[in-house]
Amino acid sequence: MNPSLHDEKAREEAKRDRMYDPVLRWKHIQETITWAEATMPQHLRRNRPRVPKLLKAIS
Amino acid sequence: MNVDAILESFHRHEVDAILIGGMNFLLRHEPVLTFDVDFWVNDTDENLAHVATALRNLGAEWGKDEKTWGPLPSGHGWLRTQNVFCLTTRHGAVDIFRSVEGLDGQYAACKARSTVERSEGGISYRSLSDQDMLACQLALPENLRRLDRTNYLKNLLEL
Repeated sequence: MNPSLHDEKAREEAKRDRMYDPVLRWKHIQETITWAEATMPQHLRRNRPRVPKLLKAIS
Repeated sequence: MNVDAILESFHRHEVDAILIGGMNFLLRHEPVLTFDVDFWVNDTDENLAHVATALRNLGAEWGKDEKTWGPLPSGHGWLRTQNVFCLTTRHGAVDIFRSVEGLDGQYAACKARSTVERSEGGISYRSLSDQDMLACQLALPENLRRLDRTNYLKNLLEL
């Protein structure tokens, strides 16, 4: 990346990190995780229903 | 983060923008860790005015420094002062790029290669093509590249 553009991005991100209300930021992170899980295909979701090993072996 | 609310505001205010970065990769392909929504915006005065309105509608905050951080300045002239802006909004973090490394000066061509997609919530947005997403990654020094995304896109494009 062009060093000046990269530096500008890094400076902007660091500034936002400092100014982000921690409570709001935590809420946004939680919402993003929930949203991403709902959006992703079922086989990639956490806590998805597992096929019991025994059933897997039979099939 | 409420991605639909962010996309909806940009759509409603007729912002000429292309979704790029991790969120674009996530929506096109597979989950990656990302906590902001990145837009590459068409760098015209008329469009920057739309960008500023869409951001204001989202309750965006930004400042040139910590002392001036707060609600957005009036008008859109402030969007001319930098190439990249990292903002907070009521619905999550938003990054605005007036230029993108590896694709600089090619907005029109990239827009022509982009596709119009719909979010789960039915909001339409423009999505940067795989070819151009890869070009962005390859323009970065190796230590800054997202290797998982780069390899995924290379395999997809059979490079």
